[in-house]
Amino acid sequence: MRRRSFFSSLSSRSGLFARRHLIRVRSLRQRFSRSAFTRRAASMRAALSAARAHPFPRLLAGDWLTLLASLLLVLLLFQTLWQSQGASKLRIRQGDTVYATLSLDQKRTLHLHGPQGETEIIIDHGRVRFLRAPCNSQYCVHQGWLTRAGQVAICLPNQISLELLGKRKSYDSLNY
Amino acid sequence: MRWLARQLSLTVLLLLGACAGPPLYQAQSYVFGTLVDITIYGAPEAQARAAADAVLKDFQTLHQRLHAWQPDSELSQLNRALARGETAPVEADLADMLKEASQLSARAGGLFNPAIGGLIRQWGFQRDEYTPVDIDPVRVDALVAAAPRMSDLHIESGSIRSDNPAVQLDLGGYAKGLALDRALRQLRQAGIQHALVNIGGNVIALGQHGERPWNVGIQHPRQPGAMATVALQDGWAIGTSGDYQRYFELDGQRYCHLIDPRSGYPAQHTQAVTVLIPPGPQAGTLSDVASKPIFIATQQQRAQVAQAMQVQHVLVVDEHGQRFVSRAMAARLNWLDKHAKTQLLF
Repeated sequence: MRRRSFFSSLSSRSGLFARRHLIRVRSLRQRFSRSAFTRRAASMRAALSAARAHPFPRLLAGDWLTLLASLLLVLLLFQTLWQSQGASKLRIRQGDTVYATLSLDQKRTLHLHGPQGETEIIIDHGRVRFLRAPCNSQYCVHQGWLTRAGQVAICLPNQISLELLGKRKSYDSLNY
Repeated sequence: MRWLARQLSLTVLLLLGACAGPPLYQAQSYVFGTLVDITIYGAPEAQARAAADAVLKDFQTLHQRLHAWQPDSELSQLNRALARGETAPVEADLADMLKEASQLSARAGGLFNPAIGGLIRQWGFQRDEYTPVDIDPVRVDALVAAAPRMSDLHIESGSIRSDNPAVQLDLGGYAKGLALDRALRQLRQAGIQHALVNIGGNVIALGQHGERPWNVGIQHPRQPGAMATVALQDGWAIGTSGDYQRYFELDGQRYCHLIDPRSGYPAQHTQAVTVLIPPGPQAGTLSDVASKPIFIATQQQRAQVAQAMQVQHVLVVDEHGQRFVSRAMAARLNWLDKHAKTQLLF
């Protein structure tokens, strides 16, 4: 009694498993049956021939919206990314010419030679200053760190100027 | 469809073009012992370059002629002749400059005085660098007692002489302003419509920067960067006299290049004076000259001196950093420091 009931319960369990398995196999077979393949191939052929007849399919409202949205996104990215990059630059002028326009986002020491001798400039991640100058007055060194767009430091005797550039420069020129 | 695609790509191109900005040409040079900066807007680069180069060349010529301490300059030769009590030949345009400077000196009640070259030299400001000097009160007093004045000069057709051999001309407070007026005329003649000329901080505007007027920052006398901005309309000029560009320090005291002709000592009760001058043939000159007497005058005298100089727009920062503005100037200033406290000057 005890043993049979054990086997019977076992067989009924395996039967359940077999039935589930069968259902799965059947649905797979339906999906990949020959007739389904031919149906899909036919529809693809139809779409291809339609595409050949009309190379530029008529764009629907949704397509236009997608195009417009992506265009706006590109413009937005251009505005934000391009400009924030421009706000972190340094222009060094020597005499009548631009010596260099450099990124402020670096650590670097520069040595420039002017009429009086060697001037040392240090760029330190977002800020810049004259570190050493050959003149007696040392006004440029006393100016300290420049951090904001539009700020200017000038070494008149050695004819070297630093200017922080940015799109959001609040003035065109400085009165001093 | 193709038409639409073309339109669309054209729009995108134009939009990107707008981001690049309109042409802005900038030229920089060191003249008059200071930094000269010319910005030209909206002109083809070749035209802008030619115009800026011509202006810089004129500045260089003017600088060499009016140099107060290079012995071979026209002004130095004149000074030597005046010291000897001789009648010296003078070029017509230099004679005109000296006449104009004399008139302005009279208007300022002698507080603008280009005849005190001797005092300026004594204080060591007729040099490329300002190192501390040994203050010699006896010599300073003697120079003040000699009372050199512009009215001592007699300018007649092609010649000049002085009643007072102590007259030593130094046009340091005049030449840069005059150069601004000359630059404006020259740029206009060259067909430039929009430009900003900055000579050592004195600025004059021509036209505007695109859709908006030129915007000029006013240097904070004790911090790097601007403390306020002002829109400089077509033809307007702005000038500042400050104690922070040309000075030396001795025993904790600051001695700036602005010397009171009455005492013979540098004025020490002011940090900066800024004046704004409306359009006119002398706008640049006045922007340079007018700030000096207001700087040197006492706080009580300032309104009167400004009136005598016919200046309505004045900003004064006194020795304690307190700010005083005239009513007309207050309407034009945009303070960058929003908590700025100002008091009415007049």
